Amino acid sequence: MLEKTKEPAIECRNVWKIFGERSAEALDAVKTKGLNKNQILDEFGCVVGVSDASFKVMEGEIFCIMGLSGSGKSTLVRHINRLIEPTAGDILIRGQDINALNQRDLRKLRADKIGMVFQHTALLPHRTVRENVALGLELRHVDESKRLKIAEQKLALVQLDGWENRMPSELSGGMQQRVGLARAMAADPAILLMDEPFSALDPLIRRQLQDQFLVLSRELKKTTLFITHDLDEAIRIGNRIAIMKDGEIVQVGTPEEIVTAPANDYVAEFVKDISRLKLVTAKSIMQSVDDYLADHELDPSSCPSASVDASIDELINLAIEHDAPILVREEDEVIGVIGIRQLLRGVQGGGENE
Amino acid sequence: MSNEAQEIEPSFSEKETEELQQFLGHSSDYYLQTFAQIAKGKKYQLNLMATIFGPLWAANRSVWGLFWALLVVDIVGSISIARSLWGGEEYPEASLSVGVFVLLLGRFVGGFIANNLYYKFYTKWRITPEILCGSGVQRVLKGVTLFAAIFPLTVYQFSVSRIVDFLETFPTSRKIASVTARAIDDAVEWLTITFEDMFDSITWAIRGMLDFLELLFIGTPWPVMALILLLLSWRLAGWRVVAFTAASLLYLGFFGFWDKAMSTMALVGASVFICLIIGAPIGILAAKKPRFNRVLNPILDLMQTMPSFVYLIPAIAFFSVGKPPAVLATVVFAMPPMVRLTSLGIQQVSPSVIEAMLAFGASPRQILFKAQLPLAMPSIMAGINQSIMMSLSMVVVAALIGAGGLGYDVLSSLQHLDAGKGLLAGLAIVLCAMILDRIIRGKNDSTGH
Repeated sequence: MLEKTKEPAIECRNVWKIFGERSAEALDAVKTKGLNKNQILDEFGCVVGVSDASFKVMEGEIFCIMGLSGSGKSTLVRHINRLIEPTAGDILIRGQDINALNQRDLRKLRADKIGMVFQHTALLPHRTVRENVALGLELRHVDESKRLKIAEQKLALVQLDGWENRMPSELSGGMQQRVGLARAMAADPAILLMDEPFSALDPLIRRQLQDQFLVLSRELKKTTLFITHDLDEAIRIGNRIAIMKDGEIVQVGTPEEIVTAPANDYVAEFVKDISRLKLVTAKSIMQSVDDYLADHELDPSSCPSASVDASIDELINLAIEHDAPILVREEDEVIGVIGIRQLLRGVQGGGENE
Repeated sequence: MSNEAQEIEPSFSEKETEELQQFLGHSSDYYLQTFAQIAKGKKYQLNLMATIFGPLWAANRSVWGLFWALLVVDIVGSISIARSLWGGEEYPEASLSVGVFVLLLGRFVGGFIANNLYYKFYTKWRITPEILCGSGVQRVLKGVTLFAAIFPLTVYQFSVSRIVDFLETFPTSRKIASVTARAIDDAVEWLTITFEDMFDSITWAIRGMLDFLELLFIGTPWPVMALILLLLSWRLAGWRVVAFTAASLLYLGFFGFWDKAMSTMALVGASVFICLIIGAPIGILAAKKPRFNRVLNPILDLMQTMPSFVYLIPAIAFFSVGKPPAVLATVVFAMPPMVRLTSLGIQQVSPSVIEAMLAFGASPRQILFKAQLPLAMPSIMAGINQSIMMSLSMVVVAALIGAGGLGYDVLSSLQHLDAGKGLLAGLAIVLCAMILDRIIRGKNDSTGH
């Protein structure tokens, strides 16, 4: 069990994707001469989709890939089930190199282990909702009574019971997307790939589906690779986030890391407007006890305590109630202090470089 | 304030002027001025150079549409002049003044619209700057060459009374045609003898199918057959079509076309069935393999545009006369829409659906049968419908080689100049076509919901 959690569920090692007839030459030129995206387009007529992407997704983790359109995020996710073949690099699913698979084994991998949800749902318009959900099982030749039963269970999971015999065109966009989610989960895959599943929905419905998805994924603990162009969504949903720009992964980290320590100006620009209240924890804004004592007096008996992962939101509540500095404790040991000054800086966003 | 603004001359900004100069090449001052006028709304001003040099001006400025128009006007005018000068009594209607008038009118109209056309060319150039702009000696030479190749010979041919022989007709060689035709004859004969068994078995198979269908259509008592057709109309298309079918069947019965109509339907049924089993797989293949599609397309064009009588010749050569060759000729004629619409239907399936199928581990066969074919069904049904219509239109032609049925009635009344009978039989064919069309279309519409 322990070993299983250590091995990443998905691993990409130096994945490159260059579109065009002369992709091999172009890749060579990138590696030896270090040409950039535009030079490649000019010289070889090739488009760089993904450049040198490496990341690991742990078992049970929700890993978001966030980037604007054209950043290569949808291209990258299609490498995981080899809908797109990489120009170079390895993709491993639970340690297995999927580029080495033959067509037959690849189909089996797709059918058994990887479920996928698409931005534009891609339901079969000539089939009922139930038949759509049962599609993956049908392709694996599961017999009809069994697969329709499973389909009904999955539809209940996304709260669509009662709609089994409707056609997809009769459903609203949000409902169709839930059918897509049920379809992806029908074969009970270990991995879910979600390619901007909620992007085409209006904000209210999107929020609802995000919540529903979070509840579901806490329950089912499926390894999920979630693509989005919306940083808010990535922060709400992801355990970790990778930010992509022009085919490159610019930064990988937890939402807190991304927000408190953006790797470059591009990321910083993105996180500027993100609310830090629920993201930033005591650990990243506290001052060490010694530093604090250098300037202030401290009477530990009157101070409230908070754990290291308490969010700024919680810290503010404590500060209002007690009107005294907050002691940050890790396993009963005081490791830092947060005074009003640190708290306000934390809200402002200058936590560390005060 | 506003008055002042209106009085300002519409002139081009520096950037635009630079762009225009690049476009115009030499004598840009004149055109800068006229273009400014055109942009202001004064569309027609006389371009002196265009008036004097006509087509050559157009060639120089790459306005090739105007070049050809002016060339034609020049030729027409010149012919009239030349006829009156040396055509003699041969062309009493020719007159010098008309020719001169046409020439001058052409040039002046050309001169007036030249600037406008040139301005349009400029706007096109702004969108795609790669096209040739400015002016050039090479283009003038091109214009002169074209002019020299076309103008003198044409004027000569139309204006003199007796022309040199070689101009009158294309130099033909009877021998090439006859030798080639004989070679084809030999090839056909060789094929007929070498593959006799194959042709015989094809004939045998088609005859078998036809016999079965005729037995089905004609052998079934007419009330049963009529009931089946009415039920089909009702189930697939609704009450209106039932009424139409009933009326049509009454016509066929009372005017004595029943048996012949059923025989024609059997022939059409056999043809369409063959079209479907051959055409649909070819269409699927064409949708999946672009290279195959490129080879197939001209063949389909050939099959569709070749006069349908031409199919009868090889059909007779290989399969002699009778119904089987008639079916085959019909198949060749009626198959292209089947292939095309099947291919189209499959290509129109959204790529995202195919991607989803792939992502869930579908094999190519599963993608075809579970997504592409069902989604292409409306298009395939339209293909079947088209095939039926084309088969029915081939019925009369096929009657020439013994297809019988309603086509024979039309043919015989043609031979005996029996207009009334011919029209009645023709109407019967139309009604058969409409019954089948309405029934199939009805189904098509209901799957749409």
